Amino acid sequence: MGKIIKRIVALMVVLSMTMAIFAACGKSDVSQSTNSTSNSTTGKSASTEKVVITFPSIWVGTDGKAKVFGQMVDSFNKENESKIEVKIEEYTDYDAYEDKIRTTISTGNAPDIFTFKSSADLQLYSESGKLMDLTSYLADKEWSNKFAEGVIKTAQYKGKNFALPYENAVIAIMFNKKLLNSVGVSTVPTTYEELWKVCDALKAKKIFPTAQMTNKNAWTSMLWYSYALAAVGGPDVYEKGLDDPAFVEAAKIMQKMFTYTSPDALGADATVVNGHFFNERSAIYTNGSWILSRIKKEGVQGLYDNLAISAGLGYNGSKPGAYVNAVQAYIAAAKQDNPAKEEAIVKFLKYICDVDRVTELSNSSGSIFTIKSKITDQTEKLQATMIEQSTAAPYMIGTFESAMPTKVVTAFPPALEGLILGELTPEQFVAELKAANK
Amino acid sequence: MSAKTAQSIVREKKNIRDYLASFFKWVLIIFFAVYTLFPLLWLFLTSLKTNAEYFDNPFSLPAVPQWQNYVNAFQQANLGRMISNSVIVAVTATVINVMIASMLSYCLSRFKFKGREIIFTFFSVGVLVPLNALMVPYFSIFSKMGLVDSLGALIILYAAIGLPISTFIIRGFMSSFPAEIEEAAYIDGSGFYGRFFKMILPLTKTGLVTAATFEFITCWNEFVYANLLTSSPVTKTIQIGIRYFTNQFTTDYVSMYAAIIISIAPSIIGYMLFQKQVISGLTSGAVKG
Amino acid sequence: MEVKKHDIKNICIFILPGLALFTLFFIIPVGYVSITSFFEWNGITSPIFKGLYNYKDIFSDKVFWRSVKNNVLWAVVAGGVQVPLAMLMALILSKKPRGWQFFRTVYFLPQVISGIALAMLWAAMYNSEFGLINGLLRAVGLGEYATNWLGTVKTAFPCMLIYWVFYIGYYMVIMLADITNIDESYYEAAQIDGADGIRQHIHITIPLIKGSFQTCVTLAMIFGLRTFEQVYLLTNGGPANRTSVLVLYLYNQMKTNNYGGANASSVMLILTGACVILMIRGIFAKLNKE
Repeated sequence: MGKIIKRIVALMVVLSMTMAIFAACGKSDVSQSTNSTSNSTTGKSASTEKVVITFPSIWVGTDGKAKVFGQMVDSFNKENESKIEVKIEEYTDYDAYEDKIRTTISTGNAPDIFTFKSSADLQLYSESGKLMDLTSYLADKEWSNKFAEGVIKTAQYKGKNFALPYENAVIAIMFNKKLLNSVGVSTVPTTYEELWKVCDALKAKKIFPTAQMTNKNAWTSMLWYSYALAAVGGPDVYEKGLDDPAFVEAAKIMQKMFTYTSPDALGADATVVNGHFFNERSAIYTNGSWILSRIKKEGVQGLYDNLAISAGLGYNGSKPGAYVNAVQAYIAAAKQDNPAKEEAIVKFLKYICDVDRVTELSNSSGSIFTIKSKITDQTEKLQATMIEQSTAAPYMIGTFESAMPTKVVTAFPPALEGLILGELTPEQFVAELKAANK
Repeated sequence: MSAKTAQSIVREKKNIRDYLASFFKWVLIIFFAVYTLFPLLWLFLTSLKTNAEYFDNPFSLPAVPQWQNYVNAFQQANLGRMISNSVIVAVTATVINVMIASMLSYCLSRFKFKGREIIFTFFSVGVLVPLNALMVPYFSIFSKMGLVDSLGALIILYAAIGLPISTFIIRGFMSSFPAEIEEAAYIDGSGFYGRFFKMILPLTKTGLVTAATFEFITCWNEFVYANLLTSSPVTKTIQIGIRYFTNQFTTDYVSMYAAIIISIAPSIIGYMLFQKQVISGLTSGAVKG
Repeated sequence: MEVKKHDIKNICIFILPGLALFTLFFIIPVGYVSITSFFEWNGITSPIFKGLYNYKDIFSDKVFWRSVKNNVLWAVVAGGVQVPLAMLMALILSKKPRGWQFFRTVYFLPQVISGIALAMLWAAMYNSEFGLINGLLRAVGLGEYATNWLGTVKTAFPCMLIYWVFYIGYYMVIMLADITNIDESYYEAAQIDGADGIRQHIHITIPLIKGSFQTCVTLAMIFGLRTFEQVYLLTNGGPANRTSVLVLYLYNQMKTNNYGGANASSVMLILTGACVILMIRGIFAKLNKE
């Protein structure tokens, strides 16, 4: 009997504890929300009270930009002490971050500032009517001139900017010169015809010419496909959509590419692809500038110094030199009722677009931004090469992922697998992508 | 004489059979042990490598054990705080969940009333609701309750989403409990609550502990909603901590594995404590006659 | 037990909290999912009523049917192979061989390890270049059978099933708990009759744990229908959707902002599952009668 009483008492304690937890949590939340409503109703108190801006951010943790971006936020908060506080919420898992942003916007709880990566999301979120219109602020030349030519326009929806393009993924092709030399190749190929010859030579020596992948978003193979599109279709390849014959022709290039890959390509993820290239099992690779620091750290000794950075290759007489790039992060803000808060958000956005700050951010992380940053002594050698080559490029196209609707992007890896398995012809491969987008 | 030899032949045959049975038994036991221990061993060894070594060959041994991966994991990812949050959430949610599920199971298994089967069918179907598809409704519920970014939200949600499974398990144990004993207790004048607390709960302890084990593990391993419903560092749980070493482009695998090893320890301890209860339940069960 | 009048109130009190939580977190959300499955909805702008459009859409998608097929296969293997294996091991451990408590904990370990780690491990195991499986095959002279296990159409799905079917800890714990509940006196009587270990199991233990066996089969099959994480992390449905499952299918629809389609898939999943549950119950009811 005593045992039972004890048990019931224990249960009561636990239950009351949980009630207390709920109550406490509930309370703090309520007080917060009453605060913010009083902010918006009484304009006077708003100007004296501290404005808190929440910013769920992925530039935290082990992200290359984490340290300097964090310092940027700290110094902003310090400069605006007792007036504005930007509160960073940390998110490291990108898929989960996307889920969260989508859900919060969907339920009308959009965070004050957030980022997203695809142009499909740009359109969707702009349509939602829940984002702050930044167009009038960007009319301020002092701000908009900091951005690379024309990039602000690419982030517009019906002529309005509901988001800022911020981080730019610049993609290059990388050759391991040591492995190329070992098969008697001393100059980096500039056309696909030359590339195939180099691949044959490598293959004969049992070196994987490239490492392809199809798991998750098929990232590096998607980049190869983008480069193939640039070579075949030129600067306007995305304009006609999937009807452009270039998509079929580029698929043929991919078929050939997969004959020059490691046998584990089908179903491989980025760890496999990186594993092969970082350990000199494969010789040719493509990825964004951010990978350079990892190659330096995790590649075999001397790999970084053996790399040759290259722009896109020519195909059937088309000129080489194209670059693939894409806005990798757009920054958007939620629509605000409180003008003081809106002002604070814009102030912060301007702050993080400062050229010197962005240069520091770029140098420290290997990332490249839409803001015209400078090449300084601090800039990594190969990163500088990429910036130079891409500025000199005759034209740039976006990555396939950034230029296509999400449905096509999601359909790409399985369709690519079908193509490689021989279940789909290049024509059927493109038809499959089209079908996904109906 | 001849009868004796016949007997010994039988005994011998039995011996051979016993040996064979014992042999197969141990083959199975060891096969499963190796199969299930292997991931943990691999995880542990990999967590002591460098990322370069890991990329080179996932199955090589670390040249020099990188113990600092653990220091990294614990300090950078703030795992201490996250573990304590996870313990609070998992323990509270499990207690609430098992309490509610056992109350419900008691009614569903011991009494016949209208709607009983309907309720049970609904709960069974509840087990297969794809929770990933419910992000929008769940977020709405908690934002209306003003509980977003609180451990309370996770506790309520975990207690709720585990209900169908817990009810399923506990009800199974309760229905196998012989009705005569309960009838006898009823005739002896034992009331509704008396029977529940004094008889049913103690005697189906193994069922409760089994359900509690699973609920605890579910809470401990849940990530999607932990990420969706929390945002400040003080409310983050261990599964978010594990993913601290991944970012948009790359993952620091070895540190992540170190974090995973750290995160496993509390749940193994929890599991062993729970299972100890099953054994002591066995001895208390022996008294029941 | 028949319901006594004065118990009605108590029963209501006992059922209420469970029912309240269930209504809030299952019935209402699922209702919402079912309703929105008739709309074209991207999750952000207002939904447009489209009738059965989403259903027609997924029914005409071969990936959907492949996912259904994989899910059913998964459920059958879970209920028909994994759970019987778990029962076998529960029977063996219930005789308390040396170190049985250790083994019971060890068998449960994979449930505790984060799914990411398991997926990374098995992706590496199956890898054609450095994977241990191909390494073993080559070592014993069967190198010609070495292949890219998860990248080959024929082997991908079987490999997905095989790696996980031996992780039996979850069900073994349920059945082992049930066996420990069996009164010793049943066995004492049997020992006098001279029944040995195996016969004891067949005649006493197995009939007595039928209930928990049914629970395990049902749970295993439901988990098989609901499976997501393993596939998402290991192959993401590849190669060419060969390993796709329903929850992955609907997750991809959510990712592409097709909430209407995702919700229609959810409804189909729940309906399939309900059929499976009814089927299992029917089969066991028949078995119990016999």
